[in-house]
Amino acid sequence: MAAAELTLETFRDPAGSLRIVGDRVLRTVRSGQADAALHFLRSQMAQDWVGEGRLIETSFLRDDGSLITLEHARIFFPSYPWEWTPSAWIAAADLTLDLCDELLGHGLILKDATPLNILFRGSRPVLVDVLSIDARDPESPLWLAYAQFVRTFLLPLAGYAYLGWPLEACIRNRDGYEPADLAPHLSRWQRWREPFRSLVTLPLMLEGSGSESARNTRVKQEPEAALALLRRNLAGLRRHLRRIERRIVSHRPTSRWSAYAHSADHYNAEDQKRKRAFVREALIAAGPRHVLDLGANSGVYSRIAAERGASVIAWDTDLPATEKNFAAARTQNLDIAPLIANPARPTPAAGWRNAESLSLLDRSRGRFDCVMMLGLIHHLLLSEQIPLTEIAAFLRDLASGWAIVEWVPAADPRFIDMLRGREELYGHLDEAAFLRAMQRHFTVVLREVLPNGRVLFALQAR
Amino acid sequence: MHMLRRTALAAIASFELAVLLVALTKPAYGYVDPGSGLLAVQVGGSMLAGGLFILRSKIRRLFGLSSPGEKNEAEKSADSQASE
Repeated sequence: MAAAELTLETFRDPAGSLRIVGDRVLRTVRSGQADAALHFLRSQMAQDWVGEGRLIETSFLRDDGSLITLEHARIFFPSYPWEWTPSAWIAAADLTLDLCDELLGHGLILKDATPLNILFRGSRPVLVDVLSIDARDPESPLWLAYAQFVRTFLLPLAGYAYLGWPLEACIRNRDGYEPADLAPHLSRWQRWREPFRSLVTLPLMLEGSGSESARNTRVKQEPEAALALLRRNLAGLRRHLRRIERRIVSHRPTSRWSAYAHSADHYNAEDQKRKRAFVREALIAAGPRHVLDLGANSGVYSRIAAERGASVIAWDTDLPATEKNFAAARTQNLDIAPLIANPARPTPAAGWRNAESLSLLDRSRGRFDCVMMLGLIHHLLLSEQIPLTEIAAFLRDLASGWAIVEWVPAADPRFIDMLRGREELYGHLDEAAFLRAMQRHFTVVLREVLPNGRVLFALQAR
Repeated sequence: MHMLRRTALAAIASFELAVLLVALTKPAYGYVDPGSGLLAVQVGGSMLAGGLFILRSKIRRLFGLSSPGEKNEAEKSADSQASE
């Protein structure tokens, strides 16, 4: 199946726009509107950032006088902040502050600062909005994107860390949260403690006071003082970020699933060993470059695929398990992008005319030469009530080449746990029914029955 | 003499702060919403810290001390002379 044809054009930045056409990412820049960014892109510093993986690769295609066309490298699987783990948010926020800080000494600055300017290659954030880079007024001590950084990075993270607001909810707010959104939900104690004192309470008081400084973006100071103050502002934002991060780490939610791969009582050591060996064998047969791991949990099988050289996108709905996957990918420097994503309820398209952010499936169809679905099928069948024929068609929709699937029989303790009195509806489902559904789209290449009764398949697309 | 110096320093600092408070320069061209309350926090913080920054420079100058920036420049100049 051909990869989905993606066409998307950005429009908010008056300096230019970006279009994604198939696998090409083209940026049009209005002449004279982004000279500083274009000059920067030709500098050694930009090349260094690209080499370090912090800035997207850019080449100059043409200059017709009024419009300049750039082409960027395509990041294989773009993800959105509402699919990121808190650690990914923090990595993106740190990158934004790091790059802005480094630009200051060169007379430059980031003119906007939102997680939407960042994409991930594996677990590494990359700045993709090169037109964010702009010349700064040497006499201004203000970072005009300061408030946007607070709205789009710090307040969502603080809402998650202190109030339990899900980061997925950010799909509803392109420009993040206003201080007024959080204020009613804070206790008196929280209002006067950091980070909320500086990020919510004082801004709200000044906003309500009608103060001139709430509208004044033209403060002027000596260049040396302006630079020192900008650095001080960034350091203040970084202190808030660290405080929020400490809170997230010390209040991690407990997970139903993150220890599953090691502690599951229906999987003994021998079952696990044979399952891993089967997955390795299937991956050798498939030889994939791009793998999608559905229900990846903490990433045991994602890592097997990544260690074999594949670029892996890992979806799971369990946040702590996905955080473990993200941490391991960063520590072991593996090409795995763990995302909070639910195959049964995929992220919808969002934004203006539903065309600014693509749906999860529009980004996924036909893009993976191998899709792994291990220990997930009984959840889709019994919890989500999705028919086997639908599951098979969905897998074929995503996989251009191979699928590695674990069939969980009706006698399996987990299947029985989830049946909950619905034997009439699902008790009859067996391996033959599974194969009838799958063989409409795939051919069975490998099959192995584990000692615990589960059956593993390597399937090749017809 | 000491009192006079302190009064002079306070007067200079007040003057600098007053200048900062009314200083308006080129318009800013950012297209993002700079906020209102969050902008005010940034402006207020910058004014305060800017005043202290200038006050510190004045004190250093009054006592004949160079600022860290000036010191670096002086060191660079000495280094370049040494390497010639």
